[in-house]
Amino acid sequence: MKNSQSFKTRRLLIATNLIALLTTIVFFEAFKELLRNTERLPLLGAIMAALLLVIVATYYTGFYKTRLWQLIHVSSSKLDEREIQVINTGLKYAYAIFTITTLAVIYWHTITEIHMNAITAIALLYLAHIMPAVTIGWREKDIAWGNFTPDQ
Amino acid sequence: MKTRKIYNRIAILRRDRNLSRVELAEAIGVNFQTIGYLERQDYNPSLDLAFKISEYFALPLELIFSTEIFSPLSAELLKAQAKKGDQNEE
Repeated sequence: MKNSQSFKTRRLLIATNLIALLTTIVFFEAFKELLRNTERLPLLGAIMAALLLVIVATYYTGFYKTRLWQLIHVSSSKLDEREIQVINTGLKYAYAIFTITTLAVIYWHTITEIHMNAITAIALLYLAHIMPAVTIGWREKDIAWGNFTPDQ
Repeated sequence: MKTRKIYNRIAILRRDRNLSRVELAEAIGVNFQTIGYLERQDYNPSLDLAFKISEYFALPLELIFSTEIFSPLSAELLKAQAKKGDQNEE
């Protein structure tokens, strides 16, 4: 019933996931020209693949396996009043953080006149999806794991 | 709006009835971790949840919940006994 993952480990996994995501965007933006160079492609491709692997691994252990991600997709009828309150607070913070991040990305692209690449767009979609789970996982010491069945 | 802290006797009552957190949680329809939050006074229950707890223990609401720190039950028992003794003397 209880998940053995500690609060510190959960925070570490969340931070690693976000840092790896940011590093992927920066790395792709910085070296996208070099990626077209076939000589350097294996090395740069391997670094990109390693970063993606870190994102997938930390997502799986930090969000999926702990059911943290599913927690925000559960019908409120399956949650008690405290859990609803926790999710509402998490969504409030997630909305604020995501809005600021998106505006910062848009302004940065406008100022630098650089077109937004596919990796950044995908990263924003991913961020929109996991941000509520990030804020809940970061703030809450105890998460109600396993007492609900996620909606199909 | 700043809310007042609500103190409760849930932990004492639960131990008195020999109930686990999971059993009490199932009986009143909340997550077992919510019982922990209530017992630590980290979460103020809604009026509905407070009534559910009160009905489950078959005790008046004011005996379980208070806006002031509860004195130990032993102290209250002694106080009640002393009061009864005074009444008998009269």
